[in-house]
Amino acid sequence: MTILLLNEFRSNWRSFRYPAFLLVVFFFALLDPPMMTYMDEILGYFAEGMEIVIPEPTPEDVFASYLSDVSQIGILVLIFVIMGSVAREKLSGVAGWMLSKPIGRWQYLAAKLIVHYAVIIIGLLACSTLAYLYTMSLLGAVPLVEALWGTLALIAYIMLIATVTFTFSTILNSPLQAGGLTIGIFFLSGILNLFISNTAAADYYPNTLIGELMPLVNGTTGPADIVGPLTVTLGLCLLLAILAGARFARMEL
Amino acid sequence: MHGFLGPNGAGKTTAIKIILGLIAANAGKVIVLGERLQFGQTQKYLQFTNYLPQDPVFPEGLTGTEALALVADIYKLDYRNSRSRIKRLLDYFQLGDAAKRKVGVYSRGMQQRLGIAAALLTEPELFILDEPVSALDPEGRRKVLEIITRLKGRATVFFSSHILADVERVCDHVTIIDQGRKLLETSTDQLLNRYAMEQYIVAVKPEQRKKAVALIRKNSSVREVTLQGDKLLVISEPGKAVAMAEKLLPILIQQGIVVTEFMQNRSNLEEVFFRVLEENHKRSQVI
Repeated sequence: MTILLLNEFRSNWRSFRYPAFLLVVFFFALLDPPMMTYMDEILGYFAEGMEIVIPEPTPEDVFASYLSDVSQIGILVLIFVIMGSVAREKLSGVAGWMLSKPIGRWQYLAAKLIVHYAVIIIGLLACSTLAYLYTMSLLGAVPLVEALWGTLALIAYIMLIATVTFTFSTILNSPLQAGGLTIGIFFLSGILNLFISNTAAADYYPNTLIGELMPLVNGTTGPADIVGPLTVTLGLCLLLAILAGARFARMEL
Repeated sequence: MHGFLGPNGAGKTTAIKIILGLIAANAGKVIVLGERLQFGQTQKYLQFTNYLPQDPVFPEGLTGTEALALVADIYKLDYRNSRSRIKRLLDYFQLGDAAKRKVGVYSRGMQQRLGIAAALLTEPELFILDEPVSALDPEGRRKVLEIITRLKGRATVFFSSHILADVERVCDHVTIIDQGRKLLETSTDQLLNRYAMEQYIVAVKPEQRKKAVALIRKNSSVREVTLQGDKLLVISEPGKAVAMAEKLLPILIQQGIVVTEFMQNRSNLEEVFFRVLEENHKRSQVI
C-alpha cells in the first residue's frame, strides 16, 4: 500500500497537479491578509481625488475571506486536479497495467483517495497556518480555536467535492465528463443552498459548512452548530467512496 | 512457449485481458496456475504472472528506472538485488542513457523495450506477452526473441503475435482463434506436419501437365490443384492425405505421365495459419 501511496503522490506532484492546487491556496493565504488590510490604500491609488470609506477589517474578516476564496477558486482548481485521477488512467491503459499486477482494485482506488485527502488536509492546514500568522502580524490574532474550526469545516467540504469528483472519475471514462458533472453539482448545490439555508434542512446540508465559515471564525457559531452538516458531509464522502469502489470492482478495463 | 494467433479483431487481447481479470468473460471458465479466475476479485496468480501489453504504459511522471523500481516494489522483490537487476536490464535493452529520463518522452520502441524489461524483472512463472515485438526494429526483435527462447523450461510464455515467423521460431505450441472462437490448439510441429502431409508437390513433363491436372482432379481425396512455378501443388481434403498420396502416383504412372518429382510440401506457419482461417470461413459459410 505504501508503494501505491508514494507512486500516486509522485505522479500527481510531477505532473504539477498537486502543486497547482497548493499554489492557489498558498496564493490566497499570502495575498488576502495584505489585500484586506490595505484595501483602502490600494483603492486610493486607483481613484485619486475620491474619498473611499471602507470599514477597517478585523482579523476574523481577513481569515474568513481567505477561507471563502479557497472555498470557491480553490475548489474549482481541485476539481481539475482530481477529475482525471482514475478516468485518465483507464483511458491510457495505466489502470489495466497496474491491475494486471498483484494489486487489488479496492487497494488501487483507496491509495488514490487517501493521497488526495492527505494533500487536501495537510495543504490546507499548512496554508491556513500561514494565513493565520500573516493576519496576526498585520492586524492581530484571530482566536485560534475558532480559526481551526473554520479551517476544519472548509476541509470537510473540500473533501466532499474531491470525493464527488473522484467518484465520477471512477465511474465515467472521461476526465472532462467527471469534471463537468462535478462543477455542475458544485454550482447547483450553491443555488439550492439559497432555498435551503433558512429551513431546518440546512442543519444537515453540506453547503451550510461554507455558509458558516465566517460565523465560526468570529465565534458567533460554535462547533455544535455544524455537527449535522459535518456528519452528513463525512458520511457522504464514505458512501461515495464505497459506491466508487463497488462499481470499480466490477468494471471492465 | 505458447503462441496465440489470430487475425486483427479475433479477440487475442480480449482473451488476454480475461485471463488477467481485467474484463469479464461471458462464458466458460479460466484457470491459471491452478487457480480459477473470479472476475472482480484479487487473483493470487497475478503474483506469479507478468503481463506485457501491446503498447506498454507506465504511471505518469516516472523515469525508466523508477518505472522498473515500481514493478519491483509491487512484486516485493529484494531491494538490493532488484536495483542491480534493473540497471543490468536497462543497459541490456540500451536504455541505460535514458534511465533518468521520463518514460513519457520515450519513443514507442523504447517504451516497448522498457515494458519487456519490466516483464523480465520479476522472473514470474507465467509471462503473458501481447504482441511484444510489434514496435521493435529488427535488431530489437532478434534480441527479445532470443530472450524469450531462453525462458524455455523456466517459465510458461503465452505469446500473442501477428508476426507468424516469430511464433514459429519461438513457440512449441500454438492456438489459433478467430471471431472469439478457438479454431485449433496443438503443438507447432504437429500442426506443420499435418498440413505438410496434406500438400504434395508434383512435377511432370510440361507437355503432360494438362492431362496430369485432369487426372489428379478426378481423385475424390483431392481438394485443390494449383500451379506453383513449373510444378503442381496438390492439396488433399482434410484427413485424406494418405489415401490421396497412395492412389495418385500409381494412377499418373499407369496413364503414361512421366513424374519427375513427388514429395510432401513442408508449409510454414504463415501458410498454415491462412489455411486454418480459410477452412473456418468456408465452414461458417456452409453453416
